[in-house]
Amino acid sequence: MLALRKVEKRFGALAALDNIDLEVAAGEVLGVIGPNGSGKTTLLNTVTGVYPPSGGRISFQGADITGWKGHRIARLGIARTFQNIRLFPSMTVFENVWASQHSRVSGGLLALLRSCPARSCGDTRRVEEMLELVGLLEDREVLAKHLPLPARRRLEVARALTSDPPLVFLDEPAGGMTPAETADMARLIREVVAPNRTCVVIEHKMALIAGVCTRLCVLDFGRKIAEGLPGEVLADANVRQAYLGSDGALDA
Amino acid sequence: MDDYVVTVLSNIGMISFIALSAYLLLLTGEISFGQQAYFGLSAYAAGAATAMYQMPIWAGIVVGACAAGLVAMVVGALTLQLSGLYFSIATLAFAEMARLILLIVEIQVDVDGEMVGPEGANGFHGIRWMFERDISLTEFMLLIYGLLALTLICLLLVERSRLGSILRMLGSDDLLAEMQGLNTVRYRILAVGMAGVIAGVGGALYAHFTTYVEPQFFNVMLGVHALAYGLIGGLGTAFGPLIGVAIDIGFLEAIRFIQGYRMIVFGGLVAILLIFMPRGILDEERVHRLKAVFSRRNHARA
Repeated sequence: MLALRKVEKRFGALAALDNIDLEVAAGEVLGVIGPNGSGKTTLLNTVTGVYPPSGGRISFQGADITGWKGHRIARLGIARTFQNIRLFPSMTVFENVWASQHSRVSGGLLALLRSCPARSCGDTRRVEEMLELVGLLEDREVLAKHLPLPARRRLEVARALTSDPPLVFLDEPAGGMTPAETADMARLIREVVAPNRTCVVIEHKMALIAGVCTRLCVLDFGRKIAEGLPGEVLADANVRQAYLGSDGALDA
Repeated sequence: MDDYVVTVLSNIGMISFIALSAYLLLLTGEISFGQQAYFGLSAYAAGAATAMYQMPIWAGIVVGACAAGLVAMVVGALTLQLSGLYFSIATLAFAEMARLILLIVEIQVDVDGEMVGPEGANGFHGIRWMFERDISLTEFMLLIYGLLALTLICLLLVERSRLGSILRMLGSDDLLAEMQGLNTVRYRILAVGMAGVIAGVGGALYAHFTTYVEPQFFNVMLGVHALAYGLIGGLGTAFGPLIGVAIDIGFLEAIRFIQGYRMIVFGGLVAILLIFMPRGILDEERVHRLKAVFSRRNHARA
């Protein structure tokens, strides 16, 4: 579904991504883990067109998307959430999710002037369904900035799913959450995000990774150091070395 | 109404156009110090259309507004890579360039034995459409407010439309907007073009109201005021900048004992408002709450 071939991303002298080869198969939930600064978010930013790769090719569903602008990649069907939560703070919950529908409205300049968000424009029912699934339908008229953190993360998930993309990237979906909230997010990913689509989860929390991922890929200093089933990867000596600097237990 | 009141009201009306123009860009997250250039360019273009080439005033306004819109889109395309402070500086530089060009441009044509047209630093005299047709100040004021109402209605419709929501998305977080599949470059150029047209309508009216324009009037202070109006009145609705204009010109200029201290009071007011209401009197949150009050479909918790 998604294939990276020798992808590199350099910021000056720093190689944030170094020769990454990665395949994401249709239907899987791939976990990307690695210490801080190992290039996880850079990988995501490169794939979604925040910036172009410095080298290598990226293809999605057979199309070469290397160097495409972010909006074209998004339209093609790759949605994402953000590590430090990006919402439109002064828009309501409903409007935030509706934001992903703009690119699906056809009709050129005139359609731009249709009132919004009106029942007639875009798929309002779909927005409401998604809000219901993440448990935010009650709060639809609340401004996004007034939501507590776990609700904001769920709102981001709803926004990413509303355009029904085949591939979704979740960047630390349980960042800053308590264990109970993390368990809720894991359930949401398993029951709502993963079915019928491919999903890449970037995460630190083993509780989440172990609960949702079908396969893991480990980055360290911009290089892929391991890949495989979660049990095997977490037992890998290199992985333990990279994460903990010694042979401690991976249980956080 | 006496002429003084009509003149003050007309000034409020004409300056409102440039305030709305700056407001539209503030919505998209850009602080432009250059909207006065489009106001000025259009004043010259519209004046040239009616005084030099005997076009009717509506054609003059269309010529001025289109010229301003086109130049704004070109400047917008050139400054796309810039954001924040760098965009502001670039707009200021372009505006000053335009003003300096107007200071040296001399194109005059013979109209009934009299030379008419821009005359460099001496300005552009003889835009006498109003007098030739014996139109009173009050009638012209009605024209100003008619066009202002039309512009305001268009802007309010845009704000309620998908385009308005997209522009606010750009202003709030343009990377996030891009990630929603929106071609942010295209919408940004559209926005600067629209802002240029709006400033242009005001400039065209201004040239015909004063019958005389000079480059000096379109200096950076006009652009700074245009920005301040939105920041005072509020960025939540297009009525915000109009409130800002009304406070500055209507209130501060009209109250005679403040006259000499107008800029001091105005500056102080801007500073105080920016501290306590950083997005103006009618900011997004208050507008949202007002809408909730008026809306029966009110699911809000707060």
